[in-house]
Amino acid sequence: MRVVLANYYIALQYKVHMNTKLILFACATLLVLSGCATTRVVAPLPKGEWRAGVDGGGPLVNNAVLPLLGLHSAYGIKDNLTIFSGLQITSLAFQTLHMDLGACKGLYKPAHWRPGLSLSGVLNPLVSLRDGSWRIYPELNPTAYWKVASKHLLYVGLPQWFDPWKNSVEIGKGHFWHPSAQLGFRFEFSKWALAAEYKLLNINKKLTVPQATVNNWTGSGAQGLYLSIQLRLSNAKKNE
Amino acid sequence: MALTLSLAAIGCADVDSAMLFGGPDKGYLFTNDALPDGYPYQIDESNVSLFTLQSDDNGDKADIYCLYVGDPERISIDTIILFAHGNAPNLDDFWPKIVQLANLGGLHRFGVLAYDYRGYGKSEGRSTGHGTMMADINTCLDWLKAKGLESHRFVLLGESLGSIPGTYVAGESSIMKPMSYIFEVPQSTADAIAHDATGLSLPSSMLTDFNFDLISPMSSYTGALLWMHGTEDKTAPVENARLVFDAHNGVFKKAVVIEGAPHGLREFMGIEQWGQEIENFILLDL
Repeated sequence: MRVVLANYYIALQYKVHMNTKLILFACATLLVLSGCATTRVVAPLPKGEWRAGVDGGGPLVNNAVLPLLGLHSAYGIKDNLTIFSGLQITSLAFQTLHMDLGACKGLYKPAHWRPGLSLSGVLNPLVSLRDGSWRIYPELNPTAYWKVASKHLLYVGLPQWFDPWKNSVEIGKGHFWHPSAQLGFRFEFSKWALAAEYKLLNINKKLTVPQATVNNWTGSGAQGLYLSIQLRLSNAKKNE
Repeated sequence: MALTLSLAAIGCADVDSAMLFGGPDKGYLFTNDALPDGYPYQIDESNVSLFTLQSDDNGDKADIYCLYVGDPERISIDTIILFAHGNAPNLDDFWPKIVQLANLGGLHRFGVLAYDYRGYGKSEGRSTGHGTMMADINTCLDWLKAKGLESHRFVLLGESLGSIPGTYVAGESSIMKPMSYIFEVPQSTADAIAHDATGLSLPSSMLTDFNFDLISPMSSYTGALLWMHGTEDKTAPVENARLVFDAHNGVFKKAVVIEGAPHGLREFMGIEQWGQEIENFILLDL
């Protein structure tokens, strides 16, 4: 009995150790997949409104959601223009500074069943804290959204990342265009908002993580689940 | 849950070596009884030696566990296979393969030395990348050389992760380069792994300290090369490895690329055929 328990303990120890290692490596390699967070701003905020939030979730690897974590903030400059920024906390664990800086422009407001339309332009700078190597990936994110119960938002978006360094990739694997798609819902309340989002990431290429499985029903790219919570730091009363 | 795991990751001092899946040993049972039921190969258990050597990575010292199958007194006259294993946690996982190597061409015709990298099995310390992996394999080379091994009787087998230190030894070792190098389901470059995983042009330095590029050392290797790979390998894509193979300009090279085979090439192609390919390759150059 003691031997059986000892063997069981060794097997359990091994399994926990391996899973931790796989999660860490999969995090490292996938944390920079296009749009590793919920959409920062779906529809422009009212002028003068500040929001700050926390993002969680990530791509599905080995049938588990990678635990990526980020922070972001947004500010309404005009009623149809909001600027925002974000920081990927998990990336810092891998000694990479990974931010996003962008603006969301409202193109159309929703009316009844006709969706509103917004377009976000984003820069995603990454800097290795090991050797200073860097990349900046531009992103365009058109998003259509509907108001639900007059204040919540149902939305679909097509984030597009672009890779100006595609020719620096070895073995001829560089791609300029990295399209993704997303479907989300954002509960908007007077002092906070909660968003849940499903993404199909990098849908035009196969992704390979050593000794891990990138799960996706489409057969290429990856899929991910994301959550975020935002605090409405100012102007909350006005928008209530 | 996500928050907890993320904070755990951030607080974990081991993130740089996240690629290196070392883990606890399963008992280090290197006996015939520890082989799978019905396994076609066995060894003379009196020819099994388990011992430690001190590996020194610029002052970062660690005792690593080594397993020699064969008579150590014959290292000065025998052909010896040094096996750098893949990215599984310990030597226990490779025991059946080591036993098969010790049976190539007949029981104990070739001596076989295998070892656990730092942090793998009972080996001390932590594998963190190129420096520790080279220190560990060089420690084994020093031991073999001290026992009388010479380059013209030295066969190196680098499997998957083991292809990284293996290829650097083949191309650049100042201790001893192999006469024959078997390059099984190898990796290629750290950047290629980053590109395959993200689809983006990311430098590997954004993910890990473990930077390597096997194309350069392979271009310096002048001995014989056997490359074995599967076309459906999702861990080390075959097209990446082919570039490393193409860089070799030595005396002889052969590619065994198995259609449909995954990273577990040996099991897919059948262990007998796998062994036959290696045996033929080694004997070709003897």
